[in-house]
Amino acid sequence: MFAARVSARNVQRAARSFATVVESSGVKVAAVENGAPTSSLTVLVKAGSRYEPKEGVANALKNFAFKSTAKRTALGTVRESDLYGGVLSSSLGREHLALSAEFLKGDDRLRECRAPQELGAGCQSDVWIAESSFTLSDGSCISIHRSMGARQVALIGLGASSQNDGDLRKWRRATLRLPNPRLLLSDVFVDILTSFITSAKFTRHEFYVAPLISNDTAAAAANPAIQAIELAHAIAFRQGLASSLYAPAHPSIGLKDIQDYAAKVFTKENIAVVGTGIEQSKLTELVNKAFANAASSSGPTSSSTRYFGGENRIEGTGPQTAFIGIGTMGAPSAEVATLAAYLNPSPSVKWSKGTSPIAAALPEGASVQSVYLPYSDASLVGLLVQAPTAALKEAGSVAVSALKKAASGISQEELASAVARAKFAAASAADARAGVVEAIGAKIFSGSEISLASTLSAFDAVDASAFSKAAAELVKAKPTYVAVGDIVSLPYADELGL
Amino acid sequence: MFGPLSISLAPLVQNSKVLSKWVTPLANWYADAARYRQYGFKYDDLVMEENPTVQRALGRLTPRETYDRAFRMKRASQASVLHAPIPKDQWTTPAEDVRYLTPHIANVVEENAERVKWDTVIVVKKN
Repeated sequence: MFAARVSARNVQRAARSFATVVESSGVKVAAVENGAPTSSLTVLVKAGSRYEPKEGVANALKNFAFKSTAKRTALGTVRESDLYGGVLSSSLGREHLALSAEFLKGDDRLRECRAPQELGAGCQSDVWIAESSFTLSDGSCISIHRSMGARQVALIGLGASSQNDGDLRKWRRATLRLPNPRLLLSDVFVDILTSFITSAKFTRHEFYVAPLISNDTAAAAANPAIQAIELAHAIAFRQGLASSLYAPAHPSIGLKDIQDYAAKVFTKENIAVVGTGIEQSKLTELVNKAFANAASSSGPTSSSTRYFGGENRIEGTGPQTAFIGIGTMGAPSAEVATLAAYLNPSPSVKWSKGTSPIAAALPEGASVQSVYLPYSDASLVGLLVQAPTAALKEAGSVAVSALKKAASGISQEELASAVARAKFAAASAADARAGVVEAIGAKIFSGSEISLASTLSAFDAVDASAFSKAAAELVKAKPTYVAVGDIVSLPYADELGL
Repeated sequence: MFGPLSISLAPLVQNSKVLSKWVTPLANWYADAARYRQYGFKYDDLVMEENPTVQRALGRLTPRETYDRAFRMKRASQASVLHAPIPKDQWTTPAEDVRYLTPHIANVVEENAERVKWDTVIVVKKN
């Protein structure tokens, strides 16, 4: 039975197309149908770290997500989403702030809650039953029973009969009195997410997000790879995209800064709602209702990105790390993605060394990862090298020579394999919900067509001449070299051949 | 018995124009007769704070408000030692006598009630 259900879903997944974007009262709405049993809802706001007026404000706003709003307190938000079985999360990127809710695709067979006193005599308030039941779209039902205290009550799946419990009949009578019996999960979670955007209170006593912010910063500081990437952005772009995703170690932001930033970015033109597993018309209707009275202004601007490049080094703990990369200006291109895939030394077969020339020449204990970070008007591509102190210079030289070789021209076979890897990376990213939302988020604000087919067909257009032209242009620009670790012994850019 | 946490007819009076017109002068006379302003207090300094609700609400005051509250307490303690009110120019004016703590207490009471509600909810499967 299980296998039959799974294969039916696979058929649906193969037939899905990507999202169509509908503009609903200024807010862009996209709905994707991927046949999964869970739905998700993501509100993307153009409030990434590139738009922050002060260091760390974007991170603070992300940590303030789901605190008190005009409609619900923080406790109410958490308990309500817990009750309806959803997972709330907020994440910050350089371009977007994403508020997400994931929940089961339960339809109208929902639970409602009633306070004990509304259920009439005989229901004691020390009887707590938390029970969830979901009907999947193919009609099968999962129900989870939990009993607490001295009373044991079982509410069995579809067609429950109240054979041995008089109280159940009372509950059934109570449910008939409910004002809105057809509340759907998507209604609830659209409401939770959008009420933060439209009516967050930012109360002073909830500014205990300060420990969350410093946790984020501390976790980032302990990871040399993150330090290298953040510093690389700062060196490469100098402003806008250069702003770090994390707050500084001693931030000077106050509640007022966060409120001002929120007022600036939470406007209709700046917001996109992406739903997976929710009907497009239903989602548009909900978004319309939620944003009916929202503010509407142009939102924050970020100066157009310029790539500078340079060299820098900082003290760090952990493995010695070096980032060797180059940035491009303009919208991300398939050629640069192919270059990143060509340079990628990770093997396709586990526990093997792989066929990449980098992997063959690396000294023992060193590791190299290819980094490809596309943004709306720039991208950063390169290699992140981590090695013990003595081996870092050699590993770095190997990485640099691979980069230069790519510029000088590669064989048709190598190009075909690089294109295939890049295509696969793009396609498999779109398999996961997070990847789908990211792919949509990259295109939804610019108004370009969102379809997996168009993304993949861009790779088909990459031929040897286009590739070598793009690679040569890249290598001509000033490289970005960042080293994190023991400052005294880290190699310099010219020692590696940059 | 008195204070934001107890039974009060104040909302009833404040919502009615007629009652407000008649009760307000009486209330003002009472506040003067109570003479707490002659010791530099605001009304919310006198709210009974020896309970967890008001302690939580006190934690929500700004540092400035907390400092001023402590100052008023200290000044009034000195006046109590001297068995006399403070100099007339330092008395709290009716305009200054703002209920700075009561909104916080009301919020805390509301939040406590909400937590109790969520903790005792009964979830019913609608079928």
